[in-house]
Amino acid sequence: MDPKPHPEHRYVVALLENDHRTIREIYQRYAAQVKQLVCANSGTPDDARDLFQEALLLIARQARDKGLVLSCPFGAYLYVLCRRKWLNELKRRQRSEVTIREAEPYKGNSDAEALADAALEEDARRQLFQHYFNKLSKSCRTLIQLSWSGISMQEVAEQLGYTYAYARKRKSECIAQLTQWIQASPLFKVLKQE
Amino acid sequence: MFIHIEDYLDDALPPAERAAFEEELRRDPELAQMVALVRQARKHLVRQWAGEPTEAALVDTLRHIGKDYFQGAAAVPAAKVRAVFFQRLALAAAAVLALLVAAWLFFLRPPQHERLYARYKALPEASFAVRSAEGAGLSDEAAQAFNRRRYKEALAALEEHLRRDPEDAEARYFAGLCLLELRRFSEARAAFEQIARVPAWTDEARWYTALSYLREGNFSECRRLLEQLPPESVRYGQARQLLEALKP
Repeated sequence: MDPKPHPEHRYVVALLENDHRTIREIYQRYAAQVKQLVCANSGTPDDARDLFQEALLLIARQARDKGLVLSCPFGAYLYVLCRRKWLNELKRRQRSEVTIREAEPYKGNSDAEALADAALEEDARRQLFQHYFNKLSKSCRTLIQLSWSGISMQEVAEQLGYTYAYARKRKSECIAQLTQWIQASPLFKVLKQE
Repeated sequence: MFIHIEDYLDDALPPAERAAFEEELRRDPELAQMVALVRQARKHLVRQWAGEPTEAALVDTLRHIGKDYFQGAAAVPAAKVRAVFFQRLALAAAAVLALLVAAWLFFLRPPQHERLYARYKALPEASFAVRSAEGAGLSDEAAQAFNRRRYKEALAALEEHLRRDPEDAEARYFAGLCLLELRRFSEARAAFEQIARVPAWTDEARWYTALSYLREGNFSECRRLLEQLPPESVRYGQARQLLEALKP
């Protein structure tokens, strides 16, 4: 039996449905907490705004792609996500070990921690594929995107003005390049296979 | 190998070949790993592309609402400057700074159309590596020159290539971007017009044509073109934002 979602799952639904009024409520309730976390730890209000926005996007993606069902208060999940992401950002900026000064409002909420872990790992994987895909030449990207979007290779070849055989050969080379980069990436080795 | 993997994942192999391929997968863990990787890449990227339009709309909402909740820096308490001398020095410095800012605003600050152009142009990174390896003739030097913002040099290489291969839409796209950066607006638009007929390039061509009018200061033409971008265009979200910024 599916677990019953937390009543605050409505915030997740609001993100999926781009429901302005409820999204405003999310900001109303939780923005100050995240702003405080960031500003007390070497960040600016602009950093806090970007972090908050990225965390909400991440939650929306988890809901859209992984069918996220909220099993803890939304605020706890959002805060733990923001905290982890900010810690990563500080590490990236300082290139050394960092700690965060905070009141730890949701310490020990294991559901929130587990959801945040899953979301961040999924996001890292998404970024890995996106990053190396974007590194490909524009023509490779167009070719792969068209052919993976469900249209036949014959149509892809026609759209791009290639012969069918050339389009297949070219796609194969583009995918070879993509997978070679991904396999060589240190992040790929760290991420668990799905 | 990848042609086979793709056919397998597309379920396009005839039954006998499919069975043989699956047998090979059982025997060869490296091949199995590669199939798993391509399958993962497809899944993640396809999901990402499918979600882009709704995500762009959500980003718009979040940006819009976020402005109201993260305004202004928390006041940083200024250090108390005790000595009057330092207070005066600070005042004098502030006055000089204010004058400099005023001078910048009146004389040096780029005009609105240049600022908006700079904010929205987000030029792509050129990479022709796969193509030059295939012997398509477009050297990676053109890409490097473009990425280092040496647009004249990049344009010369691209034009030379286009003389040999006038149908190369990607080369023409980057040539258009070089022309746009060099402020040769009508030539840039002519390049974009040529590639707009190729479906894969229509969006980009329209978007940068609109930006060429923006950079020229022709806001009404820029607005007209942005308004014509259909909602399924990958540039739709940016177009709406720019239209908002262009409101009088």
